[in-house]
Amino acid sequence: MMAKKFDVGVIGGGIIGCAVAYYLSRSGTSVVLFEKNHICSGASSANQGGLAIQVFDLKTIPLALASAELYRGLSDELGYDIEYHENGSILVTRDAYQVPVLRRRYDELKGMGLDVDLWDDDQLRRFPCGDTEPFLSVIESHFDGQVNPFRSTYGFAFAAKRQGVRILTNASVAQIKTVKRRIHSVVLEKGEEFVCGNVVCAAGPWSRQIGQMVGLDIPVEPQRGQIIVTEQVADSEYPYILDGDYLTTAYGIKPEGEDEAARIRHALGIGGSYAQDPAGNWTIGSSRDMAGFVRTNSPDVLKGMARHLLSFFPGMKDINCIRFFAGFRPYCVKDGHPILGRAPDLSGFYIATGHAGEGIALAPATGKLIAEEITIGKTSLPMENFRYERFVAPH
Amino acid sequence: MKNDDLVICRCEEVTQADIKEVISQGVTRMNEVKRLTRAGMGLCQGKTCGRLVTGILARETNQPLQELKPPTSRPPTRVLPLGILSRTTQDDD
Repeated sequence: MMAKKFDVGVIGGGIIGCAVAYYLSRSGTSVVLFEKNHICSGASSANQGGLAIQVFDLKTIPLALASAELYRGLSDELGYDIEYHENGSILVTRDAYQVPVLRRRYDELKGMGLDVDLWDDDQLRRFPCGDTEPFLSVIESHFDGQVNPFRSTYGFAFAAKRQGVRILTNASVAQIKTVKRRIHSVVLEKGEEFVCGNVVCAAGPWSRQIGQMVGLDIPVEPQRGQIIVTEQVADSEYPYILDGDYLTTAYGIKPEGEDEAARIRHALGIGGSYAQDPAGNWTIGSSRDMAGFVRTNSPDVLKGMARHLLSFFPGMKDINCIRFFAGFRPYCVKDGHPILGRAPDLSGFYIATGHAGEGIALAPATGKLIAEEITIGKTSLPMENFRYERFVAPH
Repeated sequence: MKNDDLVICRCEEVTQADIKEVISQGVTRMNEVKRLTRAGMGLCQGKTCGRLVTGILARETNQPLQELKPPTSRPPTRVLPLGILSRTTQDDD
């Protein structure tokens, strides 16, 4: 049997792989995508669909803003409603030690020219907190957004398919053949071989196994996250709410005080992230732990997340939970940041993974940049902060 | 069931036409139908519509009914108020 020939083989049918395939196909490149399960069956299917850009690492924000810009036009471009809404978000705290951290973040975001407000006392008092004390500080971002992660992933996949991308599901990759440190072909477990001079590893939490096939250590491990979904309730004026733990975690600041609840939260990796989707369901997150590929919920985390939520919004105690789920973020164990672009010393191998909890937010820009690098050899945004070389020769 | 206006998932108000539309886009699995139409994502979590959706998918894609995997079923088996979930061990009460 003759091997089939394509310019590029994309490994992974999550939002990153589908976005890469879509942007490649726009430039007329012939693409085959291999997905071991079905489209959107891994990390892309188990998240809150948020673009919480205001809490992102400063180096990642330009990539996130480029993504948001692409998301704005994507429903029209793909001919498929991906339900992108730029509703903004609020970052709230009731911990005194976090107040200066929020102030610092506000100054940084303002310094980047972003549309954010730091609420004054009057705004803090006006926010309905029920029987609890007002927040001590709130940053309101007007540029954060939410998107339907299923519809975005399938939207990219359907459009890619229309533009000629061959999408193979139930297609586990068994081997990547190289000739003199150049990519030659991809062989599936079923035995089929596809000749392609370029391969993109967009396998998310499973990327390490793909890297091993070409002797490259991609330092990505599954970081489990758990989410509670509630029944549909009336629309909130603030459909995306994050707590200050996000920032203190990002800055590596340890929680202060001897508060038992805070200690448990910290031990379980819980940081509040609450998003209401257009149908009215709230998703309640978030948690972080390294549990291998164990995709189950743990009662202590669910309880801890519910408790933490109710400490902010006690009025939600009677809202019903209808579903719990868990998923794996592709987490770069070296520094927590995405790994993007060509691999060193292996011609034709490209990496697009390690997005941790930011894959949905960063997918359009990632897809576009990787496509640019493959087709024209340069990118419209600098990628130096995200390249694999940072593990080889730290700067 | 000839009437495409028929509501299949009552919780999420998904019609037979909605389900047929996503199938026509090329999806072949129950999980995919659920995620793209929201059928089975509501308060009853597909207890009412699950079998109906499976039937439509089997018919439209010519797959044997018994070979279609049901969508991933997720806890809790019954709805649970957040206030109860936050106090789920005895020593907290």
